[in-house]
Amino acid sequence: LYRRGLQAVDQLAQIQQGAPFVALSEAAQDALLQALEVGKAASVPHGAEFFAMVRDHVLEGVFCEPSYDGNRDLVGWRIVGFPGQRTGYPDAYIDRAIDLPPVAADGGVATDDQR
Amino acid sequence: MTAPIADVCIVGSGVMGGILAKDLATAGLKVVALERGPAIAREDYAARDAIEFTTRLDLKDWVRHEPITFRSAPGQRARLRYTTTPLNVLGGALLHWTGQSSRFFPADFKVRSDEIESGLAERAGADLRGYDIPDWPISYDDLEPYYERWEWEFGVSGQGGANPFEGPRARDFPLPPLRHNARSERTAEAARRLGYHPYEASAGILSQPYKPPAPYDTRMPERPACVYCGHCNFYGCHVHAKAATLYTALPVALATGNFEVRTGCKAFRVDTDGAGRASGVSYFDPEGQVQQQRARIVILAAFVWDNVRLLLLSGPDGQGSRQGLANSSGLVGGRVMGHGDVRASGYYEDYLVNGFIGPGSAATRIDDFNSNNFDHTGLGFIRGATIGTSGGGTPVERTDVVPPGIPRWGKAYKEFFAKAFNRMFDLNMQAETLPHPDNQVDLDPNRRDAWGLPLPRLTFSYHENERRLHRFLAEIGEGIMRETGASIVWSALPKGGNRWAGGTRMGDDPRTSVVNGYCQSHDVPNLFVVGSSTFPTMAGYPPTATIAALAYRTAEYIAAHREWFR
Repeated sequence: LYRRGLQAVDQLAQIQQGAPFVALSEAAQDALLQALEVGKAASVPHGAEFFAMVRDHVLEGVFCEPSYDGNRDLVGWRIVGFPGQRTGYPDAYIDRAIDLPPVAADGGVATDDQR
Repeated sequence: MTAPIADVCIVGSGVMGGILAKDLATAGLKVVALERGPAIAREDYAARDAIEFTTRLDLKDWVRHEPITFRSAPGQRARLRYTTTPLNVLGGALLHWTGQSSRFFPADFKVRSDEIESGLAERAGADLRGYDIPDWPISYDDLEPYYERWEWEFGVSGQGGANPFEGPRARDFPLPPLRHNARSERTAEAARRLGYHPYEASAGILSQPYKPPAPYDTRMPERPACVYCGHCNFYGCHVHAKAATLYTALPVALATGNFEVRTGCKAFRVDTDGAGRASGVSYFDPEGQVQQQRARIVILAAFVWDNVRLLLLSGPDGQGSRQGLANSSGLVGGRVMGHGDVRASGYYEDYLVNGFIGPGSAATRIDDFNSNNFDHTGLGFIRGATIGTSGGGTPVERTDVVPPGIPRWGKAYKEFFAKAFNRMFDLNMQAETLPHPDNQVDLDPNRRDAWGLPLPRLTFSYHENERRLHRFLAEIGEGIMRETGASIVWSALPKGGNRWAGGTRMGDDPRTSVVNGYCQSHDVPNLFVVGSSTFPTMAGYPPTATIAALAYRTAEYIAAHREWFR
């Protein structure tokens, strides 16, 4: 899916702008992706679906547990201020910042005495 | 080899199956339950991984339910759809429920007499053409003692009387409400300023360590209090503070020595004898071999469309509208209902929501626009919705919650989401859907599942009463969110439906209902169908507490009349 989809996007960039996608300006890239998102890039088969899939995958990569090899150094969680999928919280933190650094799950099994 | 005849064969081991197994095995009946999913242990659901449990439902085969097909109107071709409401596992969906436990209001059981025959619907200006709206054959008072059993045996946290609209209760909740979180406190203050009656929602999650006292079932295990990790909806509870049959009712049932549960066993037919009574259940075992469990009583305790499908696949090989077993009314699969979840969202410039802390069910709830709690005169519809704070969850679950005008990707999206993830929350409004003949479950003529059985085909859309109610709620919700101080407020109308009910409706008249008020088939007296599939109308509240209460009541009825089934 990726190989065919990316090829079609690159071909479209060549036809419309005379350059591969990565060589386009940011604005031209955005314009092409916008057309793809709403299904107006007719030369890309199932363009809207392809765009939606890639978007989902990118966001999964940014926000997943690092054990999936995304969210490296917890960068995705850091930028949004998420402290990780923790086993529990000692405080309700009502209307105030959380003074906990983000942590990855250790992969182990949580037990009652870890509270 | 012929297996011995069981007193009771139950299809399903979720909230209904677990309660029925426990109480019937305790009463001395020999009970066998067939569960299509696997048996799992705490390490299988303790990981709290959003990818595994929310975005990639194909990573664990017991998380993703078997597919159904869906279309929005009769005559259309149905398309394949995966839903997450049921769960394919020992203990059923109660393992991953949010924990919202609310009793229905007394008025929810008599919509026909109180709101249609009384003239209220006419004064409201409601357009109820095409609907088929009955009363329940039972009342709130009939269920009240069984609601209490559910609340005290499984440990529901809440405060009796906090909701000024709730029906009378003989006993308070066993535990105080869960600790509030930031969004619920802010919403409660805003709602009070608007003249509404917010309260801390009751939840099937322990606010303190708990073991049921006498006269309730003291064999139920002691469980620890909630640790506010925020992984309830879609997750198993890693400390077992959330009510689930997997680690409560099922082990108690097994300890009686009268109960056996067979996992990986897919029921496909209710068998009948020459006299038209149920004689057992045929199923595929884990190796795919056809097996039969003979039984004196058969109880279908599966999800809405699975109960329907089993009945349609059973009985004489009929055709047309009265196919299947227990279907002399022609209503098996009919009048299916799903909540229309209206969402109002708010974004705050300088307020941290921390919505990922604590259970989603530890919500502020407002029932001023639910049920028959408000004056509908001139509003154009009847019924309503509960309104509750929601919108917790991890970042990957929230990436689609974006106000209008903000792009869904690119630099502007990144900048917005980085700031907004912890500055947004929602109100979830569970709008009641009224029973309509177009909304139904039948057998898909084109698609089959892994066992070669036709897939359940859901036909569902909203009609005029729902559409007007949804628009009304969106306005109310946006008004509350504005009052909380949100700088951007927006709403979304429902798509697709949530929390399903109907399909084997209960009633007194065998011509217009499938089962009676004890969930017993009118046509086949030793066949019971339990769960929200029996709801004649669905209320604007989550169904779980009512499902549990009906299971307790049915178990008591069967145990008291066991000599009928010898």
